[in-house]
Amino acid sequence: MNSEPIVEIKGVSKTFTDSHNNVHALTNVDLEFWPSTFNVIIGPSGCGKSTLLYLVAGFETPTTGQVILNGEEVKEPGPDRGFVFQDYALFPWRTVLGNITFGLTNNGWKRKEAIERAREYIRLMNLEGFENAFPHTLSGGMKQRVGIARALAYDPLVLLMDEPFGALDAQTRKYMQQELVRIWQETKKTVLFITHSVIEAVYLADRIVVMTARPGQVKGIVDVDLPRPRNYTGDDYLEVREKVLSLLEEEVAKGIKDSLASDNTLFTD
Amino acid sequence: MKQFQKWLLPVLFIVLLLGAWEVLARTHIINGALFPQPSKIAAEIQSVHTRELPERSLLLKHIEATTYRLVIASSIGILAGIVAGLVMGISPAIYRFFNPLMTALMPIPGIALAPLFIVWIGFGNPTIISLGGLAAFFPIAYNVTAGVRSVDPQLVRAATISGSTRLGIAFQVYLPWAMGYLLTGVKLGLARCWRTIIAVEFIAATNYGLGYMIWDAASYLRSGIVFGGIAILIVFYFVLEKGVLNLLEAQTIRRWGMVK
Repeated sequence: MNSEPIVEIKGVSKTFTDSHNNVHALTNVDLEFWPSTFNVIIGPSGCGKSTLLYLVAGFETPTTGQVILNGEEVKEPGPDRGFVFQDYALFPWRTVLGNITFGLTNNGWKRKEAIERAREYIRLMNLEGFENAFPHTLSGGMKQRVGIARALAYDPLVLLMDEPFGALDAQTRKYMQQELVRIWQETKKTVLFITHSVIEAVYLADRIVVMTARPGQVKGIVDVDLPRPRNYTGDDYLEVREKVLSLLEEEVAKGIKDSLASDNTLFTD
Repeated sequence: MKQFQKWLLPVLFIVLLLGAWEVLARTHIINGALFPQPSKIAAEIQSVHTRELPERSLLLKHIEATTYRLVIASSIGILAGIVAGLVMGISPAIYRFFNPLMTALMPIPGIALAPLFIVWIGFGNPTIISLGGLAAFFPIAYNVTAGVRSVDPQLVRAATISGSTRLGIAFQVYLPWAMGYLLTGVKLGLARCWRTIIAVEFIAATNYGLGYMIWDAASYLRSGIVFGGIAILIVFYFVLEKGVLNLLEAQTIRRWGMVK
């Protein structure tokens, strides 16, 4: 692990205000993320974990505190970060190739080089043969592979992933997790990954940040020192899982009590 | 049977209508001077077509003049409508600022402004094209505004994080997102533009144009040319809508899976 963190979250709170009331999404969060590590942030529904990611992305600004990326305060979104959305957010009017070149041509790449680069990522994501397909013709898993390729192609420092596999079926999800680990090992990006699923978290992470129910705070951090490729069943795997689960359970109970909307996806895949 | 229903039934209706008309007018059951039979209409239109031959057909000159005005006016209206719609859709403040003006101007029929425009900029193309463009502008501006406002915020986020500029987002996200709205706006705007041009040609055209041809024929009681002129208007717009607009729709929002 390098000594300098690439992302620092310093005393961050976020309150959303509308005409009726204030919602405290995050209070007093301090976190550090190191280069080339795979970090998973997990917590009960509505704990502000997506808000945390939006703050790093620059889509939202913190009410108090700072987000530091590579030594500089985050003020707005920018191409030193890549973002993968739960609902893919592909441009329907662009082909697979066009979606991936989007961030490249906007950052001054020449058209020809951008296409070459996009083709590399199409190979990396096993999307060959679909270069000219429009997103609406693709399956969910393939759409998200395009989403990941689009976010990685312009070589960001950090890859932010907001429940990227949440909309996929169990089989596809498992496959995408394996794929993501392979791609992460090839590209060595720093990843911040939001999920509901403990199984997913332990399969993917170097480090798991467990958040409390709203207002979101850091409940605990679990380091995952398991060799890769991991399976979902070994004793050591189950041990880490138990550790994360025990941290979570209390919070989930609190979260369910606090909110009318119950959430039963936490322990399933 | 399906093909029969789809194509033959409407054609059958038109043939029966024209046939009955022909018979009723020839047997003087209806007044042939006010409702000349289709064969007579065709002959009169033919006479306009051949009048200035051999060099040029007068009919084609009328069609050409109106087509030219439609192309220029609708292009101006569409471009201005897109820009105004983008700006008003992206900025609520600008939308609120201009909304009273839009609300006041939109319902005014182009023809009502024609006397004013004739005084301002004279007879002929300047007035006809300006009013045609204005007529096209409003529905396009309003529709693009609505389209831009309905944008999926995640797509805007996806664009900003990959380094798009504001201008880039306007044309690479908002505009394609609003394409369905834009096409609806263009359909409405083109129809308004077309009607306005014909109407303003009645009073502001000097030599040529389908509206001018109809008005001129009416004042000489050439009802055949009036009916023929109206028939040309119908066919012209039918081809425009089915040909150009449907093609545009197939190439964009249908291809992108943005409509079912």
